[in-house]
Amino acid sequence: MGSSMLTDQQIDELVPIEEGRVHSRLYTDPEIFQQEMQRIFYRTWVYVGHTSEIAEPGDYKTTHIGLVPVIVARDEDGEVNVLVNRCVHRGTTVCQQEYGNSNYFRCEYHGWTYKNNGSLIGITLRKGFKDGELDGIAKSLDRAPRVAIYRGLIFASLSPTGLALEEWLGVAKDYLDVWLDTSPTGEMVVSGGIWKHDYTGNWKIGMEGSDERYHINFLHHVAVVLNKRRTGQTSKLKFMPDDMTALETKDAGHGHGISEINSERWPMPWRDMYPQAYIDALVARIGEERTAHVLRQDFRLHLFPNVAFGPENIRVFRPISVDHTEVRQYHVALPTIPGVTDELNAQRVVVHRKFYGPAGYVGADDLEIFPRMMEGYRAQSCDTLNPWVWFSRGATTTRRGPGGERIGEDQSEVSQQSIWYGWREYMKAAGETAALPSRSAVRST
Amino acid sequence: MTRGEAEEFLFTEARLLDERKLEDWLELTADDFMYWIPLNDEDSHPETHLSIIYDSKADCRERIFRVLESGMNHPQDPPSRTARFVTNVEVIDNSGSEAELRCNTLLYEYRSGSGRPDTTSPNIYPARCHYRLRKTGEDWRMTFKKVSFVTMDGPLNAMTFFI
Repeated sequence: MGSSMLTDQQIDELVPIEEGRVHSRLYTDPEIFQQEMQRIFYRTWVYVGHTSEIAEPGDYKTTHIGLVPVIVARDEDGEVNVLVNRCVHRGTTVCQQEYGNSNYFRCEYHGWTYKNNGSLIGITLRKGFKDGELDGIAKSLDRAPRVAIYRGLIFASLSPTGLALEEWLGVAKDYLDVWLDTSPTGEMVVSGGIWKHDYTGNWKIGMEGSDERYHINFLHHVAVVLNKRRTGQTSKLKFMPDDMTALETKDAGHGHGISEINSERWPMPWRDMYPQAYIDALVARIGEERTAHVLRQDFRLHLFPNVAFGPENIRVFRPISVDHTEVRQYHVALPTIPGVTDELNAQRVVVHRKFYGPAGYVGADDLEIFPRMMEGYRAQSCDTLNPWVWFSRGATTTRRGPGGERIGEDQSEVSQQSIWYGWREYMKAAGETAALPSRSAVRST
Repeated sequence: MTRGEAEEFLFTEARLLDERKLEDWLELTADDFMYWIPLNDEDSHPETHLSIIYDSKADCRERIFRVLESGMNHPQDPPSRTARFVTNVEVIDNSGSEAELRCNTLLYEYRSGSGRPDTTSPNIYPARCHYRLRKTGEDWRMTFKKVSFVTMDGPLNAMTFFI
C-alpha cells in the first residue's frame, strides 16, 4: 500500500486549487482511489444514517463506510453501535437486510452469533476447538471507534483519533442548525422512500454536483422552462432568484461546502410559502426572529466526503470503485403533527419526486452528465493531452464570512473548490487533525 | 373485455410508446388518468412515499413536452430506442364498462452515441403492470396504469422515456 501512495508534493502538484484547477487523474486512478479510502473515508467522519431509521432498541440498518460494510445498530441500552458487517471467523457478512430489528446477528456460514452491540456470544460446536485455537480470534465484531450523533444525524469514524464532530462540522453546523430548526421538534424524520441509483463515474463528481449552482440554467434548462410555463403552482417551486448574482457558494472548511441564495439580497417569501400553524409551531420552539431567519433561507450543503443535504432529502454517496458510485437519496419528512406538518409533508413528497427523483426534472439531468464527465476524463490517459479540470469561477474574488469561510458570488465554483481544499489536506500523511483546524481562517486566497 | 380485446389494447399502447407517438398514447387515457411507478415498495402510498412517477394527465402532458419539444432534454440526447414485450395478460375484473388488467412487460431501452462510457449494452426493465380501463363510446381509455419494476428497491437510474 505505502509505496503506491501519493507523496505530499505530488498531491500539491495534482491539486493547484488556488488556481481553480485539479488533475483529471484524480478521478480515474485506482491507486488514488485506494489512498482516498485509507486517508479520507477511514480517517474522518462519515455520515451513516439517522436516528429515526433505528428508533427502537434492536433496530438496525446496513450501510457502508467507504468500501467497508457496516451495521448501524441500536442495542438494548439504546446506544448506537456502528459494527463492521464481517464475521470475525471467516469474514462473511453477518447481516443481510437493509433494515430490521434483531437482538443478535448470526453468520449463516457456520452459525457464529453476535449481540447487537457486537459481542460474540455463540460459537458453533465450540468444544471442538482445542486449547489455544480460538485465542487469536476477536471476541466481538470490529466497530467504528468513534460514533457521534448531532440532532439525529449519525456519523462514524473508523479512526480512534481526530477532530470532535462539532469541530469538524465547523461553519457547516450553523447550516445544519437552520435545516433542523425548520422542524417543529428540532429534528427531522428520515422516512418516505429512498431513491437508489448508481453512475459510471468517480464519487467526487457527484459530490461536486450536489451544491453546484453555475449549471442550473443550462443543464436544468427544461426545469427552468417548465417552471415558467407553470403558473399557480406552489411558491416552493419558485427556486431561482431573478438576480442570479445573489446565488452564492461557500467553502466551509474541512471539505464542506454550501450554495445558497443570499437571504439579504433575495429572501424567500416565507410567509406566503408555509401554513400559519406550522409557522406558529416554529415560533413556539425557537422564537419569532429565529423562525424568520431559518425560513427565509434556501441552501444546499455538503459535508465531505459522503453526504449532501437538500430541502427534503439527504443524498449519500458510496464509492464502489474509482469509476463506479452508488447514491442513496433519502426522503426527509417533518415529524407528523396533524394540522401543522401534514400539508407540508405532502408537498415535500411532490417536490422531491418532481425535481430530484429518477424521472424528475433535475435528478435525471445530473445522472446523464456524470458519466459524460467520466468519459471525458479518460482523455488524460494520454500524457500529452490537457489533463486539467477547472473550478476557477470565483477563485480570485471571494470574500470572508464571519467564520473565516470563503464566499463567492454569482454562481461561483467555491463550493466545488471546497472539496479540493479539503481533499488535499486529508490525503496528506498528516491528515485532518494536524492540518485542518485553522485552515479556513488562515488560508490565503 | 375479453383477453383478445385486452391484448389488442395493450399491444397498441406498447407500439405507440415504442414509436414515441406520445400524443397518440395520451389519447388512450381518460381525463382522470393516473400513471404510477412506485419506488421501493409497490404497496406504498404515493402521497406519503416517493414514487418514480405519479402523474395526472396534466403531468403527463408536461412530461411529453419535456421529452419531445423542449429542445434541451439532455438525458434524451441521443433519444432512447425501445422495444417492449407485453405478456401474461389477464383480465381480472370486467363489468362491461370498466375492466381491470394485469400483464408483465419486458422493456429494452438503448441510447446510441459515444459520449458516455456505458453504451455497450441495452438497459432492461422487467415489470409487472396493472391497468384500469373505462369504456367511453366505442373506445377503452386508461384511468390508471401502474408499473412495478422488479428492481423498484434497487439502483434505478434516470428514466426520461415513457414506460
